[in-house]
Amino acid sequence: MNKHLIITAAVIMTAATAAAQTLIPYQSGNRWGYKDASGKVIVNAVYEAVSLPADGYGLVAGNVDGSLKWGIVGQDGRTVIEPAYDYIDLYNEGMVAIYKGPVHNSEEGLYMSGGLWGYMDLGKPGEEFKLLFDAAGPFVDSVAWVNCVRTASKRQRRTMPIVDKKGKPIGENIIFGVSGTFSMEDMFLSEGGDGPVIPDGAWVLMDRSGNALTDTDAPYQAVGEFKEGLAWVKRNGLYGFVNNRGTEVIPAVYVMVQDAPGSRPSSLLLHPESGAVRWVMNDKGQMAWIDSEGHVVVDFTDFDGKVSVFDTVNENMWDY
Amino acid sequence: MKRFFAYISALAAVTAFSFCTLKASAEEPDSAMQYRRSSLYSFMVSHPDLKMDDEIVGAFMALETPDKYNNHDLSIKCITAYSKKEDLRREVEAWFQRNDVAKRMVSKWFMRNKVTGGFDPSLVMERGLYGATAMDIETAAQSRRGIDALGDKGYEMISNTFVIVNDITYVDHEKNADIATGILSIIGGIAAAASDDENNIVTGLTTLGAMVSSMIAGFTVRVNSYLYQLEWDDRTADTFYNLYYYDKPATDSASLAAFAADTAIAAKKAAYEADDTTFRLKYVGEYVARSAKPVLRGLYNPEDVFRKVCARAIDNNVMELQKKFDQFKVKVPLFSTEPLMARIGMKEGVTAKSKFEVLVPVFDEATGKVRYNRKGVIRPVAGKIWDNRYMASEEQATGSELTATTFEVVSGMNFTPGMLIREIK
Repeated sequence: MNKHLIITAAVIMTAATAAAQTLIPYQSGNRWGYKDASGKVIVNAVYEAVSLPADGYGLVAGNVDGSLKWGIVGQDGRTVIEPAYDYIDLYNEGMVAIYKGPVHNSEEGLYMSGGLWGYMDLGKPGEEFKLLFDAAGPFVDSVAWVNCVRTASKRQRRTMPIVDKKGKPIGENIIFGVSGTFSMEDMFLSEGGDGPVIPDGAWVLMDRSGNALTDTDAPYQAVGEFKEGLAWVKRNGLYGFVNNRGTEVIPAVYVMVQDAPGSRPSSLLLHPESGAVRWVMNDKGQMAWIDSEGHVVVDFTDFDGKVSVFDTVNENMWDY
Repeated sequence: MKRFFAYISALAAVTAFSFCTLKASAEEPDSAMQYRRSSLYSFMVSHPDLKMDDEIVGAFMALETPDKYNNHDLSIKCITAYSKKEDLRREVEAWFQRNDVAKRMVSKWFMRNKVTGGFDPSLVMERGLYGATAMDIETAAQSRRGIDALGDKGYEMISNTFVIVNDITYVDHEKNADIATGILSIIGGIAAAASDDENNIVTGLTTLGAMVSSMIAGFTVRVNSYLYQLEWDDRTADTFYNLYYYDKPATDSASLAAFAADTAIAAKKAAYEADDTTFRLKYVGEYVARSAKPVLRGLYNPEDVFRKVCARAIDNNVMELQKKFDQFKVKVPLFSTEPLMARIGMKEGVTAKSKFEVLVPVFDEATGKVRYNRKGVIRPVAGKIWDNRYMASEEQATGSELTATTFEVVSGMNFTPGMLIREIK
């Protein structure tokens, strides 16, 4: 049995269905490359595995001295980064995260841990970021979260299963790009079916030049992805929100906030005209809705975020 | 009040005016797309006693209003109920009544300020006057017909306001998921057995896939959609305009002081807030269906899957409700006549067998209302039906690369851009 059986299976469906993509994985023998929509070979099938394309780039794996090394090809077929890295991920806004270190295997799956992450601007391939981190998030709105202390975090390789028409899983797609639904939790390995385990770190927001935008003397123990310009942050066990300029617009003083791990979706949609952008919860379990400047729009109330069919909803919960 | 009637007069007159100039106003396709849409408050019932409830609520809350409708959402988008409830519809209707939902929807139409109680017709204007210029409005406001034909367009738009209640339950495929997991474990076993190298990078891939697959490969939901329509008849409208409507005050201190001292306005405000009988939602009908198995192609994470499954299930129910109930059918403008094209597609249930009537709105001065005259019939061209279903492009579905559906003429002639099309049975 060829050791590449599973990766092969992973891209069969992709090859068959991705007709409109500019880079379409194809197989020749046991190796993989890319064709274009017309069937013309763009990248010869010389790789052990290839990813779904992301914005015209494909992640490819080559066998180098008995282990997989990862690089990037462009939609014109040129090699942008030679397969030389232990892993590459999180392509977005022209930036990729590159990993150097051990790759582990466990019951839960493949993961990276114990190495270091950096970045590379695909506009300047070959020029690695001088700064290296324990973990690194994707660039969104030209900023990225980086963890600056050693942890035992397990960074998984992001994949999605491929199923046939009957729902039978037959392989996996390798995910290289970052979608609008990306969550920081997507990066970490799930263990024991309880979701991803993310140890506390020292997270700082960084721009494309490597400048810290949040206080490096008071980093965050955990952070979330940016949505509509705000990301949740956690410091000393309490939550708040930071904007993409690094300003903590909703201070980290709340026991729970919208979108943080463990938060439950609320029944309430606060319309943009009300000004509220996120809910927060105080230590009494009361919720309030806050605008992007940190001002309270709907003051703390015992409303727990869920409305029962038997409830008469408090008037201040209604926008009209 | 004067200002309101001036607006409404302008509105009605411009309705007639814009019908005469449809061709010109339809030159802007996006503007045409926003013309005369019904308004929709999309709402869900969740069941915390069932699995995956938070995931379903999270997915629903992230969905946008179907693009053929104006978003008329209120701030409460979800209520919870025990899954075994036998008469959920009655409970939901009681909740609507207890929480003045119909009145709040009217308040939203007129952008009522909760503090002053004053109304603002600008949303009615905004939704009714796409394609009209400021000069059109000015001209309409000065016309005799505009004054005589009070309110038509506002009336029609407000009466085409709907609430759709989606009772969404997770269909537990635990048995199927276990089978799927078993299959993957077998595949993983083969791969592991094939290599003695424990560090083989390949062997670990399927195990993770098995965990994810068991949760999402069989993720399906059952959606029971109840459709309600805001009652906005002459009696209701007259009550609203005559007893409750007053303009919101200007924001300068003198205006606010005068407003606060006006006892007649205070009485109107109190009367409106106390009224729990005039404004009502009427039950139109319902449709129940189970979602199709998810197609995972092009999706990035489980959240994508939950959203896609819920969105497509709800869109399907909306489409079926449109087929069942004429008042809920969408009317979409033709934006091109050579070829005939409209931005409607598979999400709205368009198939090669569909037929659409081409309509011309006619302003009836006698009744002050609008009726639609059939100008002809068209049908989609096979192979040129737009797949506009949720995430169809990510799925690389056939037709997702199009931006509209192309039609051919069955009967009629002299169609012009801006004429509305509506599916016929």
